[in-house]
Amino acid sequence: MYCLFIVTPQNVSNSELEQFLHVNHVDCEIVYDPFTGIQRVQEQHFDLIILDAEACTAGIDRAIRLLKGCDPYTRIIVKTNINTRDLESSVRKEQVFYYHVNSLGLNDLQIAVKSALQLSGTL
Amino acid sequence: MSSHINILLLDDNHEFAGACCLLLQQAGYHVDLATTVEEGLKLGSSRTYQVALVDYRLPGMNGIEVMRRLKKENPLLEVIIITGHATLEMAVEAGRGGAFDYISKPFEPDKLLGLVTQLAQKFRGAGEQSGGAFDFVFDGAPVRIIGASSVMQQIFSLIDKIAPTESTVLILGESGTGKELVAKAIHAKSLRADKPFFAMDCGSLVESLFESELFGHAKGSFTGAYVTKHGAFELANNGTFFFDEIGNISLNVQAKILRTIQEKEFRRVGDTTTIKVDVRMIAATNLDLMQAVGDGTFREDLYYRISVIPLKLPALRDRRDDIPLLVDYFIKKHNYRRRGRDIQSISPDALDMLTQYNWPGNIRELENVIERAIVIEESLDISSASLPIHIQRGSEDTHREALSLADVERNHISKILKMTDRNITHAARLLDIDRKTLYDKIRRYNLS
Repeated sequence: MYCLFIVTPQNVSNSELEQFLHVNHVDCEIVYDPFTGIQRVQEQHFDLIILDAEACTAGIDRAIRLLKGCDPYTRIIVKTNINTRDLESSVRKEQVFYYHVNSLGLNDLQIAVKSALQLSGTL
Repeated sequence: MSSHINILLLDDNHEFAGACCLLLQQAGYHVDLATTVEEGLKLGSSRTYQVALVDYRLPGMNGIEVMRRLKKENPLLEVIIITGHATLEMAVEAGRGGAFDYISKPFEPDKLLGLVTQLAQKFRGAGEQSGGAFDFVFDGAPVRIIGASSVMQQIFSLIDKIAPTESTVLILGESGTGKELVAKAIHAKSLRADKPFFAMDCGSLVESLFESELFGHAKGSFTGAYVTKHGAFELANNGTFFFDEIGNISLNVQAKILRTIQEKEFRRVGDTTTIKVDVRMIAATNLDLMQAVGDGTFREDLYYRISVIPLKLPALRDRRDDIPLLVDYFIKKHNYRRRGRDIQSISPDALDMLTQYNWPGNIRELENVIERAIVIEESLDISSASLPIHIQRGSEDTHREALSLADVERNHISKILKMTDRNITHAARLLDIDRKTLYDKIRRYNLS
Protein backbone atom coordinates (compact mmCIF):
# COMPACT_ATOMS: atom_id res chain seq x y z
CA MET A 1 0.00 0.00 0.00
CA TYR A 2 1.20 3.44 -0.86
CA CYS A 3 0.06 6.26 1.37
CA LEU A 4 0.35 9.99 0.89
CA PHE A 5 0.44 11.94 4.09
CA ILE A 6 -0.36 15.63 3.77
CA VAL A 7 0.53 17.52 6.94
CA THR A 8 1.56 20.96 8.11
CA PRO A 9 5.27 21.52 8.70
CA GLN A 10 4.53 22.62 12.26
CA ASN A 11 2.64 19.48 13.13
CA VAL A 12 4.93 17.39 15.28
CA SER A 13 2.44 14.87 16.65
CA ASN A 14 2.53 12.42 13.72
CA SER A 15 5.54 10.35 14.63
CA GLU A 16 3.44 7.62 16.27
CA LEU A 17 1.21 7.36 13.21
CA GLU A 18 4.22 7.30 10.88
CA GLN A 19 5.68 4.51 13.01
CA PHE A 20 2.37 2.62 12.80
CA LEU A 21 2.31 2.96 9.00
CA HIS A 22 5.90 1.76 8.83
CA VAL A 23 5.22 -1.28 11.04
CA ASN A 24 2.25 -2.19 8.82
CA HIS A 25 4.43 -2.08 5.70
CA VAL A 26 2.76 1.00 4.31
CA ASP A 27 5.08 2.97 2.06
CA CYS A 28 4.48 6.52 3.07
CA GLU A 29 5.29 9.78 1.39
CA ILE A 30 4.92 13.02 3.32
CA VAL A 31 4.23 16.41 1.80
CA TYR A 32 3.59 19.64 3.63
CA ASP A 33 0.84 21.35 1.68
CA PRO A 34 -2.19 20.15 -0.29
CA PHE A 35 -1.04 21.62 -3.60
CA THR A 36 2.08 19.50 -3.64
CA GLY A 37 -0.19 16.61 -2.64
CA ILE A 38 -2.47 17.25 -5.61
CA GLN A 39 0.53 17.31 -7.96
CA ARG A 40 1.68 13.95 -6.60
CA VAL A 41 -1.80 12.43 -6.94
CA GLN A 42 -1.85 13.54 -10.58
CA GLU A 43 1.38 11.64 -11.11
CA GLN A 44 0.52 8.37 -9.40
CA HIS A 45 -2.15 6.42 -7.51
CA PHE A 46 -2.05 6.37 -3.72
CA ASP A 47 -4.23 3.80 -1.93
CA LEU A 48 -4.74 6.13 0.99
CA ILE A 49 -4.34 9.83 1.64
CA ILE A 50 -4.24 11.10 5.21
CA LEU A 51 -5.05 14.76 5.05
CA ASP A 52 -4.37 17.03 7.98
CA ALA A 53 -7.17 19.63 8.10
CA GLU A 54 -4.76 22.20 9.51
CA ALA A 55 -2.69 21.92 6.32
CA CYS A 56 -5.61 23.05 4.16
CA THR A 57 -5.62 26.78 4.68
CA ALA A 58 -7.43 27.36 1.36
CA GLY A 59 -10.41 25.17 2.35
CA ILE A 60 -10.57 21.52 3.25
CA ASP A 61 -13.56 20.78 0.97
CA ARG A 62 -11.74 22.23 -2.03
CA ALA A 63 -8.62 20.20 -1.26
CA ILE A 64 -10.66 16.98 -0.99
CA ARG A 65 -12.53 17.73 -4.24
CA LEU A 66 -9.30 18.35 -6.11
CA LEU A 67 -7.65 15.22 -4.73
CA LYS A 68 -10.71 13.13 -5.63
CA GLY A 69 -10.88 14.80 -9.04
CA CYS A 70 -7.32 13.64 -9.73
CA ASP A 71 -7.95 10.12 -8.44
CA PRO A 72 -11.56 9.12 -7.70
CA TYR A 73 -10.45 5.73 -6.38
CA THR A 74 -8.21 6.89 -3.58
CA ARG A 75 -9.44 6.74 0.03
CA ILE A 76 -9.09 9.86 2.12
CA ILE A 77 -8.88 10.09 5.89
CA VAL A 78 -9.10 13.61 7.29
CA LYS A 79 -7.62 14.29 10.71
CA THR A 80 -7.89 17.42 12.74
CA ASN A 81 -6.78 18.80 16.09
CA ILE A 82 -9.76 21.10 16.50
CA ASN A 83 -13.24 20.11 15.38
CA THR A 84 -16.03 22.52 14.56
CA ARG A 85 -19.49 21.84 13.22
CA ASP A 86 -18.69 23.68 9.97
CA LEU A 87 -15.42 21.84 9.44
CA GLU A 88 -16.99 18.43 10.07
CA SER A 89 -19.94 19.29 7.84
CA SER A 90 -17.78 20.40 4.93
CA VAL A 91 -15.58 17.31 5.22
CA ARG A 92 -18.56 14.93 5.39
CA LYS A 93 -20.18 16.51 2.35
CA GLU A 94 -17.14 15.38 0.36
CA GLN A 95 -17.61 11.78 1.52
CA VAL A 96 -14.21 10.91 2.90
CA PHE A 97 -13.34 7.43 4.12
CA TYR A 98 -13.03 8.52 7.76
CA TYR A 99 -13.06 11.74 9.74
CA HIS A 100 -10.80 11.71 12.77
CA VAL A 101 -10.55 14.12 15.66
CA ASN A 102 -7.14 13.73 17.26
CA SER A 103 -8.44 14.00 20.81
CA LEU A 104 -10.28 10.69 20.29
CA GLY A 105 -6.88 9.04 20.39
CA LEU A 106 -4.58 7.39 17.93
CA ASN A 107 -6.28 4.01 18.28
CA ASP A 108 -9.36 5.01 16.25
CA LEU A 109 -7.17 6.43 13.50
CA GLN A 110 -5.10 3.26 13.42
CA ILE A 111 -8.27 1.18 13.11
CA ALA A 112 -9.41 3.36 10.20
CA VAL A 113 -6.03 2.98 8.47
CA LYS A 114 -6.24 -0.79 9.04
CA SER A 115 -9.72 -0.84 7.48
CA ALA A 116 -8.28 0.96 4.45
CA LEU A 117 -5.41 -1.53 4.35
CA GLN A 118 -7.88 -4.40 4.40
CA LEU A 119 -9.96 -2.91 1.61
CA SER A 120 -6.88 -2.38 -0.52
CA GLY A 121 -5.94 -6.03 -0.01
CA THR A 122 -2.74 -5.27 1.91
CA LEU A 123 -3.92 -6.98 5.12
CA MET B 1 -39.84 1.10 -30.25
CA SER B 2 -41.83 -1.96 -29.32
CA SER B 3 -38.65 -3.88 -28.53
CA HIS B 4 -38.02 -1.49 -25.61
CA ILE B 5 -40.99 -2.96 -23.75
CA ASN B 6 -40.39 -5.97 -21.51
CA ILE B 7 -43.53 -8.01 -20.87
CA LEU B 8 -44.14 -10.59 -18.18
CA LEU B 9 -46.85 -13.08 -19.09
CA LEU B 10 -48.23 -15.18 -16.23
CA ASP B 11 -50.81 -17.83 -17.08
CA ASP B 12 -50.99 -21.46 -15.95
CA ASN B 13 -52.59 -22.55 -19.23
CA HIS B 14 -49.49 -23.54 -21.19
CA GLU B 15 -51.20 -23.66 -24.56
CA PHE B 16 -52.85 -20.26 -24.21
CA ALA B 17 -49.74 -18.67 -22.71
CA GLY B 18 -47.55 -20.05 -25.49
CA ALA B 19 -49.86 -18.62 -28.17
CA CYS B 20 -49.94 -15.16 -26.50
CA CYS B 21 -46.19 -15.22 -26.09
CA LEU B 22 -45.68 -15.98 -29.77
CA LEU B 23 -48.14 -13.26 -30.81
CA LEU B 24 -46.35 -10.59 -28.73
CA GLN B 25 -42.88 -11.73 -29.78
CA GLN B 26 -43.89 -11.55 -33.43
CA ALA B 27 -45.02 -7.98 -32.79
CA GLY B 28 -41.49 -7.22 -31.60
CA TYR B 29 -41.93 -7.26 -27.83
CA HIS B 30 -39.65 -9.04 -25.39
CA VAL B 31 -41.75 -11.53 -23.42
CA ASP B 32 -40.89 -13.71 -20.42
CA LEU B 33 -43.35 -16.49 -19.72
CA ALA B 34 -44.25 -17.83 -16.28
CA THR B 35 -46.79 -20.58 -15.67
CA THR B 36 -46.80 -20.54 -11.86
CA VAL B 37 -47.27 -17.74 -9.34
CA GLU B 38 -43.87 -18.46 -7.77
CA GLU B 39 -42.15 -18.28 -11.14
CA GLY B 40 -43.95 -15.03 -12.01
CA LEU B 41 -43.12 -13.31 -8.72
CA LYS B 42 -39.51 -14.44 -8.98
CA LEU B 43 -39.18 -12.99 -12.49
CA GLY B 44 -40.92 -9.81 -11.33
CA SER B 45 -38.38 -9.28 -8.59
CA SER B 46 -35.35 -10.14 -10.68
CA ARG B 47 -36.09 -8.19 -13.89
CA THR B 48 -37.69 -4.87 -14.70
CA TYR B 49 -40.86 -5.14 -16.74
CA GLN B 50 -43.03 -2.38 -18.13
CA VAL B 51 -46.10 -4.56 -18.70
CA ALA B 52 -47.45 -7.71 -17.05
CA LEU B 53 -50.29 -9.84 -18.39
CA VAL B 54 -51.68 -11.81 -15.47
CA ASP B 55 -54.35 -14.49 -15.47
CA TYR B 56 -57.08 -13.84 -12.91
CA ARG B 57 -57.48 -17.45 -11.86
CA LEU B 58 -54.15 -18.88 -10.80
CA PRO B 59 -53.55 -21.84 -8.47
CA GLY B 60 -52.79 -20.58 -4.96
CA MET B 61 -53.34 -16.87 -5.52
CA ASN B 62 -55.65 -14.76 -7.64
CA GLY B 63 -54.33 -12.42 -10.33
CA ILE B 64 -55.21 -9.25 -8.40
CA GLU B 65 -53.05 -10.29 -5.44
CA VAL B 66 -50.23 -11.23 -7.83
CA MET B 67 -50.60 -7.79 -9.42
CA ARG B 68 -50.33 -6.10 -6.01
CA ARG B 69 -47.14 -7.98 -5.23
CA LEU B 70 -45.61 -7.24 -8.62
CA LYS B 71 -46.49 -3.56 -8.27
CA LYS B 72 -44.92 -3.45 -4.83
CA GLU B 73 -41.64 -4.45 -6.46
CA ASN B 74 -42.16 -2.12 -9.40
CA PRO B 75 -44.75 0.65 -8.78
CA LEU B 76 -44.74 1.79 -12.42
CA LEU B 77 -45.56 -1.63 -13.82
CA GLU B 78 -48.73 -1.65 -15.94
CA VAL B 79 -50.85 -4.77 -15.52
CA ILE B 80 -53.49 -6.22 -17.80
CA ILE B 81 -55.63 -8.87 -16.11
CA ILE B 82 -56.68 -11.81 -18.28
CA THR B 83 -59.90 -13.52 -17.28
CA GLY B 84 -62.10 -16.34 -18.52
CA HIS B 85 -65.23 -15.00 -16.81
CA ALA B 86 -65.28 -11.23 -16.52
CA THR B 87 -67.70 -9.98 -13.89
CA LEU B 88 -68.45 -6.50 -12.70
CA GLU B 89 -66.95 -7.34 -9.29
CA MET B 90 -63.74 -8.56 -10.88
CA ALA B 91 -63.49 -5.45 -13.08
CA VAL B 92 -63.93 -3.18 -10.05
CA GLU B 93 -61.41 -5.18 -8.04
CA ALA B 94 -58.88 -5.02 -10.89
CA GLY B 95 -59.36 -1.27 -11.28
CA ARG B 96 -58.99 -0.64 -7.56
CA GLY B 97 -55.87 -2.79 -7.48
CA GLY B 98 -54.30 -0.52 -10.13
CA ALA B 99 -54.75 -2.65 -13.28
CA PHE B 100 -54.42 -0.77 -16.57
CA ASP B 101 -57.24 -2.86 -18.08
CA TYR B 102 -58.60 -6.38 -18.27
CA ILE B 103 -59.25 -8.64 -21.23
CA SER B 104 -61.68 -11.57 -21.42
CA LYS B 105 -60.81 -14.93 -22.94
CA PRO B 106 -61.22 -15.73 -25.73
CA PHE B 107 -60.06 -12.53 -27.35
CA GLU B 108 -59.02 -11.39 -30.79
CA PRO B 109 -55.22 -11.03 -31.15
CA ASP B 110 -55.73 -7.40 -32.23
CA LYS B 111 -57.46 -6.61 -28.96
CA LEU B 112 -54.42 -7.70 -26.93
CA LEU B 113 -51.96 -6.03 -29.30
CA GLY B 114 -54.04 -2.84 -29.15
CA LEU B 115 -53.78 -2.66 -25.36
CA VAL B 116 -50.05 -3.39 -25.35
CA THR B 117 -49.48 -0.82 -28.13
CA GLN B 118 -51.26 1.82 -26.02
CA LEU B 119 -48.86 1.12 -23.17
CA ALA B 120 -45.84 1.12 -25.50
CA GLN B 121 -46.88 4.56 -26.79
CA LYS B 122 -47.24 5.79 -23.22
CA PHE B 123 -43.69 4.73 -22.36
CA ARG B 124 -42.34 6.13 -25.63
CA GLY B 125 -43.99 9.48 -24.87
CA ALA B 126 -42.24 9.62 -21.51
CA GLY B 127 -38.89 8.97 -23.22
CA GLU B 128 -39.24 11.70 -25.80
CA GLN B 129 -40.34 14.21 -23.23
CA SER B 130 -37.12 13.97 -21.28
CA GLY B 131 -34.79 13.61 -24.25
CA GLY B 132 -33.11 10.50 -22.87
CA ALA B 133 -31.72 12.12 -19.73
CA PHE B 134 -32.73 13.24 -16.28
CA ASP B 135 -31.21 16.56 -15.28
CA PHE B 136 -30.99 18.03 -11.83
CA VAL B 137 -28.86 20.41 -9.82
CA PHE B 138 -26.97 18.98 -6.88
CA ASP B 139 -24.92 21.16 -4.56
CA GLY B 140 -24.99 23.94 -7.14
CA ALA B 141 -23.74 21.83 -10.03
CA PRO B 142 -25.75 20.37 -12.94
CA VAL B 143 -25.96 16.58 -12.93
CA ARG B 144 -27.32 14.29 -15.62
CA ILE B 145 -28.53 10.69 -15.54
CA ILE B 146 -28.50 9.14 -19.00
CA GLY B 147 -31.24 6.76 -20.11
CA ALA B 148 -33.63 6.73 -23.07
CA SER B 149 -34.77 3.15 -22.51
CA SER B 150 -38.29 2.72 -21.23
CA VAL B 151 -37.02 1.18 -18.00
CA MET B 152 -34.96 4.30 -17.25
CA GLN B 153 -37.85 6.54 -18.25
CA GLN B 154 -39.89 4.69 -15.62
CA ILE B 155 -37.16 5.34 -13.06
CA PHE B 156 -37.08 9.05 -13.95
CA SER B 157 -40.84 9.27 -13.66
CA LEU B 158 -40.72 7.52 -10.29
CA ILE B 159 -38.01 9.89 -9.02
CA ASP B 160 -40.27 12.83 -9.89
CA LYS B 161 -43.18 11.22 -8.06
CA ILE B 162 -41.41 10.14 -4.88
CA ALA B 163 -38.96 13.02 -4.44
CA PRO B 164 -41.45 15.53 -2.95
CA THR B 165 -42.74 12.97 -0.44
CA GLU B 166 -41.08 12.20 2.89
CA SER B 167 -41.08 8.46 2.28
CA THR B 168 -38.07 6.30 2.88
CA VAL B 169 -36.70 4.88 -0.36
CA LEU B 170 -34.80 1.63 -0.84
CA ILE B 171 -32.73 1.67 -4.02
CA LEU B 172 -31.87 -1.78 -5.27
CA GLY B 173 -29.39 -2.64 -7.94
CA GLU B 174 -26.03 -4.16 -8.70
CA SER B 175 -22.77 -2.30 -8.05
CA GLY B 176 -22.18 0.44 -10.56
CA THR B 177 -25.80 0.96 -11.60
CA GLY B 178 -25.91 4.51 -10.21
CA LYS B 179 -27.69 4.07 -6.88
CA GLU B 180 -26.03 7.07 -5.26
CA LEU B 181 -26.75 9.26 -8.28
CA VAL B 182 -30.43 8.37 -8.01
CA ALA B 183 -30.37 9.11 -4.26
CA LYS B 184 -28.91 12.53 -5.06
CA ALA B 185 -31.59 13.09 -7.69
CA ILE B 186 -34.33 12.30 -5.16
CA HIS B 187 -32.78 14.74 -2.69
CA ALA B 188 -32.32 17.42 -5.36
CA LYS B 189 -35.97 17.20 -6.42
CA SER B 190 -37.27 17.08 -2.84
CA LEU B 191 -38.41 19.84 -0.52
CA ARG B 192 -35.13 19.29 1.36
CA ALA B 193 -33.01 20.19 -1.67
CA ASP B 194 -31.42 23.21 0.02
CA LYS B 195 -30.58 21.18 3.13
CA PRO B 196 -27.63 18.81 3.60
CA PHE B 197 -27.24 15.48 1.84
CA PHE B 198 -24.86 13.06 3.48
CA ALA B 199 -23.90 9.64 2.24
CA MET B 200 -22.13 6.86 4.06
CA ASP B 201 -20.73 3.63 2.73
CA CYS B 202 -21.88 1.14 5.32
CA GLY B 203 -19.44 -1.55 4.26
CA SER B 204 -16.10 0.15 4.60
CA LEU B 205 -15.57 0.75 8.33
CA VAL B 206 -15.54 -1.52 11.37
CA GLU B 207 -18.59 -1.28 13.63
CA SER B 208 -17.11 0.95 16.35
CA LEU B 209 -15.85 3.56 13.89
CA PHE B 210 -18.99 3.40 11.78
CA GLU B 211 -21.11 4.08 14.85
CA SER B 212 -19.02 7.07 15.82
CA GLU B 213 -19.09 8.40 12.24
CA LEU B 214 -22.87 8.03 12.17
CA PHE B 215 -23.94 9.14 15.61
CA GLY B 216 -20.96 11.25 16.70
CA HIS B 217 -18.78 10.88 19.74
CA ALA B 218 -18.75 12.67 23.06
CA LYS B 219 -15.80 12.38 25.34
CA GLY B 220 -15.54 13.03 29.06
CA SER B 221 -17.73 12.05 31.96
CA PHE B 222 -21.21 10.90 30.94
CA THR B 223 -23.05 13.76 32.58
CA GLY B 224 -20.76 16.53 31.45
CA ALA B 225 -19.59 15.01 28.16
CA TYR B 226 -18.35 17.43 25.53
CA VAL B 227 -18.86 16.87 21.84
CA THR B 228 -15.79 15.62 20.08
CA LYS B 229 -17.45 14.58 16.86
CA HIS B 230 -20.96 15.61 15.78
CA GLY B 231 -21.51 12.65 13.47
CA ALA B 232 -23.20 12.49 10.10
CA PHE B 233 -26.75 12.07 11.46
CA GLU B 234 -26.75 15.30 13.41
CA LEU B 235 -25.17 17.24 10.57
CA ALA B 236 -27.78 15.91 8.13
CA ASN B 237 -30.62 17.35 10.23
CA ASN B 238 -33.51 18.57 8.03
CA GLY B 239 -31.79 17.02 5.03
CA THR B 240 -31.35 13.58 3.50
CA PHE B 241 -29.18 10.70 4.64
CA PHE B 242 -28.07 8.04 2.20
CA PHE B 243 -26.99 4.64 3.51
CA ASP B 244 -25.03 2.93 0.77
CA GLU B 245 -24.85 -0.86 1.08
CA ILE B 246 -27.12 -0.89 4.12
CA GLY B 247 -27.06 -4.69 4.12
CA ASN B 248 -23.53 -4.57 5.52
CA ILE B 249 -24.50 -2.88 8.78
CA SER B 250 -24.17 -4.93 11.98
CA LEU B 251 -27.32 -5.92 13.88
CA ASN B 252 -26.29 -3.70 16.79
CA VAL B 253 -26.07 -0.57 14.63
CA GLN B 254 -29.23 -1.61 12.75
CA ALA B 255 -31.10 -1.44 16.08
CA LYS B 256 -29.79 2.07 16.69
CA ILE B 257 -30.73 3.22 13.21
CA LEU B 258 -34.22 1.78 13.61
CA ARG B 259 -34.63 3.67 16.88
CA THR B 260 -33.47 6.87 15.18
CA ILE B 261 -36.02 6.40 12.39
CA GLN B 262 -38.85 5.59 14.78
CA GLU B 263 -38.15 8.05 17.57
CA LYS B 264 -36.45 10.72 15.47
CA GLU B 265 -33.74 10.96 18.09
CA PHE B 266 -30.42 9.34 18.92
CA ARG B 267 -27.50 9.46 21.34
CA ARG B 268 -23.90 10.09 20.56
CA VAL B 269 -21.38 7.41 21.44
CA GLY B 270 -20.32 8.07 25.03
CA ASP B 271 -23.21 10.38 25.83
CA THR B 272 -26.58 9.99 27.52
CA THR B 273 -28.23 13.08 26.07
CA THR B 274 -30.74 12.45 23.28
CA ILE B 275 -30.59 14.59 20.17
CA LYS B 276 -33.67 15.25 18.06
CA VAL B 277 -33.17 14.82 14.35
CA ASP B 278 -35.37 15.12 11.26
CA VAL B 279 -33.74 13.23 8.42
CA ARG B 280 -35.19 11.62 5.32
CA MET B 281 -33.56 8.27 4.76
CA ILE B 282 -32.62 6.70 1.47
CA ALA B 283 -30.91 3.33 1.56
CA ALA B 284 -29.30 1.24 -1.13
CA THR B 285 -28.11 -2.30 -1.43
CA ASN B 286 -27.01 -4.84 -3.97
CA LEU B 287 -27.97 -7.68 -1.63
CA ASP B 288 -31.25 -9.54 -1.35
CA LEU B 289 -32.36 -7.99 1.95
CA MET B 290 -35.31 -10.36 2.31
CA GLN B 291 -32.84 -13.21 2.11
CA ALA B 292 -30.70 -11.42 4.74
CA VAL B 293 -33.81 -11.14 6.94
CA GLY B 294 -34.33 -14.89 6.51
CA ASP B 295 -30.67 -15.53 7.38
CA GLY B 296 -30.99 -13.42 10.52
CA THR B 297 -28.38 -10.87 9.42
CA PHE B 298 -30.85 -8.05 8.77
CA ARG B 299 -33.66 -6.92 11.04
CA GLU B 300 -37.11 -7.51 9.62
CA ASP B 301 -38.55 -4.38 11.28
CA LEU B 302 -35.80 -2.23 9.79
CA TYR B 303 -36.35 -3.82 6.38
CA TYR B 304 -40.01 -2.84 6.37
CA ARG B 305 -39.13 0.63 7.65
CA ILE B 306 -36.68 1.38 4.85
CA SER B 307 -38.45 -0.37 1.99
CA VAL B 308 -41.53 1.86 1.91
CA ILE B 309 -40.76 2.68 -1.73
CA PRO B 310 -38.47 0.20 -3.47
CA LEU B 311 -36.77 1.47 -6.59
CA LYS B 312 -34.94 -1.11 -8.64
CA LEU B 313 -32.21 0.06 -10.98
CA PRO B 314 -31.62 -2.19 -13.98
CA ALA B 315 -28.27 -3.73 -14.74
CA LEU B 316 -26.65 -2.23 -17.82
CA ARG B 317 -27.07 -5.52 -19.69
CA ASP B 318 -30.83 -5.11 -19.20
CA ARG B 319 -30.83 -1.75 -20.98
CA ARG B 320 -28.36 -2.25 -23.77
CA ASP B 321 -30.24 0.31 -25.87
CA ASP B 322 -28.72 3.00 -23.63
CA ILE B 323 -25.12 1.96 -24.24
CA PRO B 324 -24.57 4.18 -27.36
CA LEU B 325 -25.94 7.20 -25.46
CA LEU B 326 -23.77 6.46 -22.43
CA VAL B 327 -20.69 5.98 -24.62
CA ASP B 328 -21.30 9.33 -26.27
CA TYR B 329 -21.79 10.98 -22.87
CA PHE B 330 -18.57 9.50 -21.42
CA ILE B 331 -16.57 10.45 -24.52
CA LYS B 332 -17.62 14.07 -24.03
CA LYS B 333 -16.98 13.86 -20.30
CA HIS B 334 -13.44 12.48 -20.57
CA ASN B 335 -12.26 14.10 -23.79
CA TYR B 336 -10.31 16.69 -21.79
CA ARG B 337 -7.72 13.98 -21.16
CA ARG B 338 -6.76 14.15 -24.85
CA ARG B 339 -5.49 17.73 -24.46
CA GLY B 340 -6.98 19.14 -27.64
CA ARG B 341 -7.22 16.08 -29.91
CA ASP B 342 -10.82 15.26 -29.06
CA ILE B 343 -12.27 11.84 -29.82
CA GLN B 344 -15.04 12.35 -32.35
CA SER B 345 -16.82 9.03 -32.24
CA ILE B 346 -16.55 5.27 -31.81
CA SER B 347 -16.20 2.74 -34.62
CA PRO B 348 -19.24 0.54 -35.33
CA ASP B 349 -17.41 -2.69 -34.44
CA ALA B 350 -16.18 -1.24 -31.13
CA LEU B 351 -19.70 -0.09 -30.28
CA ASP B 352 -20.99 -3.52 -31.23
CA MET B 353 -18.54 -5.14 -28.79
CA LEU B 354 -19.61 -2.76 -26.03
CA THR B 355 -23.26 -3.49 -26.71
CA GLN B 356 -22.76 -7.25 -26.58
CA TYR B 357 -20.57 -7.34 -23.46
CA ASN B 358 -22.32 -8.30 -20.22
CA TRP B 359 -21.02 -5.47 -17.98
CA PRO B 360 -20.77 -7.09 -14.55
CA GLY B 361 -19.50 -3.72 -13.23
CA ASN B 362 -22.34 -1.89 -15.01
CA ILE B 363 -22.09 1.82 -15.86
CA ARG B 364 -19.04 2.38 -13.67
CA GLU B 365 -17.19 -0.27 -15.67
CA LEU B 366 -18.36 1.23 -18.97
CA GLU B 367 -17.11 4.66 -17.92
CA ASN B 368 -13.71 3.22 -16.97
CA VAL B 369 -13.47 1.43 -20.32
CA ILE B 370 -14.27 4.62 -22.26
CA GLU B 371 -11.90 6.72 -20.16
CA ARG B 372 -9.11 4.22 -20.79
CA ALA B 373 -9.90 4.01 -24.51
CA ILE B 374 -9.80 7.81 -24.83
CA VAL B 375 -6.32 7.87 -23.32
CA ILE B 376 -4.82 5.09 -25.43
CA GLU B 377 -6.61 5.63 -28.77
CA GLU B 378 -4.30 7.22 -31.34
CA SER B 379 -6.90 8.12 -33.94
CA LEU B 380 -9.93 10.36 -33.53
CA ASP B 381 -12.39 7.44 -33.32
CA ILE B 382 -12.32 4.79 -30.60
CA SER B 383 -11.47 1.53 -32.33
CA SER B 384 -12.04 -2.01 -31.06
CA ALA B 385 -8.27 -2.33 -30.49
CA SER B 386 -8.51 0.30 -27.75
CA LEU B 387 -10.98 -1.77 -25.78
CA PRO B 388 -9.81 -4.17 -23.05
CA ILE B 389 -9.00 -7.60 -24.35
CA HIS B 390 -11.69 -9.30 -22.22
CA ILE B 391 -14.35 -7.17 -23.92
CA GLN B 392 -13.00 -8.05 -27.35
CA ARG B 393 -12.98 -11.73 -26.33
CA GLY B 394 -16.35 -11.39 -24.63
CA SER B 395 -17.77 -10.36 -27.95
CA GLU B 396 -16.28 -13.46 -29.61
CA ASP B 397 -17.66 -15.66 -26.80
CA THR B 398 -21.12 -14.19 -27.25
CA HIS B 399 -21.02 -15.17 -30.89
CA ARG B 400 -19.69 -18.63 -30.11
CA GLU B 401 -22.02 -19.81 -27.36
CA ALA B 402 -25.06 -18.46 -25.59
CA LEU B 403 -24.09 -18.63 -21.92
CA SER B 404 -26.60 -17.81 -19.22
CA LEU B 405 -25.94 -14.73 -17.11
CA ALA B 406 -25.26 -16.91 -14.09
CA ASP B 407 -22.67 -18.91 -16.08
CA VAL B 408 -20.91 -15.75 -17.19
CA GLU B 409 -20.84 -14.44 -13.62
CA ARG B 410 -19.61 -17.76 -12.24
CA ASN B 411 -16.84 -18.01 -14.85
CA HIS B 412 -15.73 -14.45 -14.28
CA ILE B 413 -15.59 -14.79 -10.49
CA SER B 414 -13.71 -18.06 -10.82
CA LYS B 415 -11.18 -16.39 -13.13
CA ILE B 416 -10.66 -13.45 -10.78
CA LEU B 417 -10.25 -15.75 -7.77
CA LYS B 418 -7.54 -17.66 -9.63
CA MET B 419 -5.89 -14.43 -10.72
CA THR B 420 -5.73 -13.17 -7.13
CA ASP B 421 -4.71 -16.48 -5.54
CA ARG B 422 -8.08 -16.42 -3.80
CA ASN B 423 -7.31 -13.18 -1.96
CA ILE B 424 -10.93 -12.27 -1.22
CA THR B 425 -10.26 -8.60 -0.54
CA HIS B 426 -8.30 -8.18 -3.74
CA ALA B 427 -10.80 -10.19 -5.78
CA ALA B 428 -13.75 -8.22 -4.38
CA ARG B 429 -12.01 -5.00 -5.28
CA LEU B 430 -11.35 -6.11 -8.86
CA LEU B 431 -14.95 -7.23 -9.18
CA ASP B 432 -16.10 -3.95 -7.64
CA ILE B 433 -18.29 -5.65 -5.07
CA ASP B 434 -17.91 -5.91 -1.30
CA ARG B 435 -16.41 -8.94 0.36
CA LYS B 436 -19.71 -10.10 1.84
CA THR B 437 -21.29 -10.15 -1.61
CA LEU B 438 -18.31 -12.06 -2.96
CA TYR B 439 -18.60 -14.66 -0.19
CA ASP B 440 -22.31 -15.01 -1.00
CA LYS B 441 -21.55 -15.56 -4.67
CA ILE B 442 -18.75 -18.05 -3.90
CA ARG B 443 -21.22 -20.02 -1.81
CA ARG B 444 -24.01 -19.76 -4.40
CA TYR B 445 -21.79 -20.88 -7.28
CA ASN B 446 -20.03 -23.52 -5.21
CA LEU B 447 -16.60 -22.01 -5.84
CA SER B 448 -15.17 -22.60 -2.35
